[in-house]
Amino acid sequence: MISASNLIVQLSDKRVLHGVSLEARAGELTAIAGPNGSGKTTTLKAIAGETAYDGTVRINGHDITTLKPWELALKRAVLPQATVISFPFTVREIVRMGLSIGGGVGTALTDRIAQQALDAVDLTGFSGRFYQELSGGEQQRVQMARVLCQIWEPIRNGEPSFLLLDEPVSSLDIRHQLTIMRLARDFCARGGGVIAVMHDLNLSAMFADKMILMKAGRIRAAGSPQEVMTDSIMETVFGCTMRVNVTPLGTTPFILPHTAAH
Amino acid sequence: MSRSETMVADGRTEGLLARLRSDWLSGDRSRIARLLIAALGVITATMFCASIMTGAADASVSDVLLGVLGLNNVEQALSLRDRIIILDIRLPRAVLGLLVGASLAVSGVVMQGLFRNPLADPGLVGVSSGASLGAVLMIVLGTSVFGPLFAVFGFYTLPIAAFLGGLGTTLLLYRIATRSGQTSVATMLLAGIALGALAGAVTGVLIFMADDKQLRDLTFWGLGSLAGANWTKIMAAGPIIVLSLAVVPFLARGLNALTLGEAAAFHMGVPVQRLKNIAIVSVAAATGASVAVSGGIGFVGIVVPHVLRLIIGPDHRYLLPASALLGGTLLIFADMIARTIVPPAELPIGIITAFAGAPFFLWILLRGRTHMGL
Repeated sequence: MISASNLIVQLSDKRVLHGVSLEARAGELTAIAGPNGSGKTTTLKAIAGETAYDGTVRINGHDITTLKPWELALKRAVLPQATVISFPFTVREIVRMGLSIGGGVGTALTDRIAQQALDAVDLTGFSGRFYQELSGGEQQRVQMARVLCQIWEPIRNGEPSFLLLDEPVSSLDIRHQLTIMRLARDFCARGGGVIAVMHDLNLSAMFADKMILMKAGRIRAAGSPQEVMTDSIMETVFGCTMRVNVTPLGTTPFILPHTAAH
Repeated sequence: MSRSETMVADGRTEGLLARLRSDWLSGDRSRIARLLIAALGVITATMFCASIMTGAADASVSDVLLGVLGLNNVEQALSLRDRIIILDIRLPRAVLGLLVGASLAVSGVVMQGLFRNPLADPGLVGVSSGASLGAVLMIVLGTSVFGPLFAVFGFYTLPIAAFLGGLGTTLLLYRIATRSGQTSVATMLLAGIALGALAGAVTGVLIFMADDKQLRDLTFWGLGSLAGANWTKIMAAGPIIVLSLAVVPFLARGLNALTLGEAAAFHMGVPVQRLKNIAIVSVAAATGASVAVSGGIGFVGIVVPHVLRLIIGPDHRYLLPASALLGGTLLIFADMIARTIVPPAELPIGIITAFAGAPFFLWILLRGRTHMGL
């Protein structure tokens, strides 16, 4: 389990997180949503150990400030929003970098894991392509494959591993949005945990076990999609009056921008 | 060779070529890289021997070799002249060429990895100018102001001064060009020009103050040359260069991860701050030591890594050793041209590397505009 308590983050002299506490359990996909500038990405960066914060973040009970970078890297992997590279790496070389942590594994195994990761993000046959020549969405999927390689066991030494995804589907077409979300779901089903910063409320509602809605550096609502996706919460958080609907055969809420009142 | 043997050999070559081809297509360049490093090892050794055997004067290497080993008989007794030419002029020169070339190329690779950009090079961004300033400071003020330092550090004083000059410039440049883990290429290059100009101006003041003997020292030193190579210089710069070259392979995985960004490298388990500290000190030490013994030799640090990246890719585990070998070979080769093209005089080697390197650098700029964040 990842638990963050009372996170406060100050960027230059502006406070961007005002005491954020959350829990993300193994086996569950936790989605963080909210308007632009609400502190979603900052929260994820604090949990990743990348941004300085006040408060505590624990992964499986270990305070992350007491862990060495490589110990942390074996417990959680992080997908950044976009990655620009100025060197001509091939897709295969990038993906295999994920496997070099902790001394790495044997070459044959490395190749197999890297191949499986590429298959999983629907990039079979891309291993020889140059990263710089791919489209934004393809690059995002390559990074996803690298992240999967870093944490290729959802449960390692009896402890669950975590994926921290920062807008994992932001540059993807609708088919690959589903591919990546299913992949994250599958990772949870196999015992790992996922925290994803999401912009798409409908995808979040479809795939998340728990949704956290943030506004202005604070958590405004947290719970199952059914609990969180209500007309009144949507209006408080996004400042926009919309009607939440429910799919005909099920309980998954969805929201159409068409319902917004002007 | 019989026909069947030819066929076997062909089959083997074809097998290897086919494997390399399929490696290339699947984006795995590790086998190609290992083969290239082995080939470069052989080429470097050959170039090293060739450099000892060529020169304006005739001198028989085999006689000297036999003489050193005590194998020559009385009739072939070694002439003192041959012995001096080979052992005290050509050999130290080849050794120094190898060390300086390797150090310049490797400094380029590490600096480019650190700044996450293929255009960063100690020569271009002012680090060499900073190192020069340190060295000139010692040459001009050495005996008067820094006399006690010479007493303590002996012939290491010049490399140490150059190292400190290079270190200061690198730290300053990194501070200016990198903000919260993001390096701006434009800022880096422009700040490099400014720092280089500033170091140059201070160097100019020092040259203005220098007396005739110091001016002579400065002129010969500043042209960028291996001409003054001797065992003392190798003793002074060699250990520093060898130490830096020995340290950087341990940075290879970290530098690979760093190409994805500082945050990503940290996520992947790299202790980023420590990596950067070691990288900066290594670059400053290697550049400082090289500049101290050979003056400013430009473009090796940018051309060598760039050519190699085209063939074996940017993986630092292979790029570092391959660059060291190719850098050493190229500098020995450039030095052979420098001392044989206008005999009995010789051209400063910096002129040759600039003639070959500058157009190449322009070509890189034209070709790679989209890929280098320019």
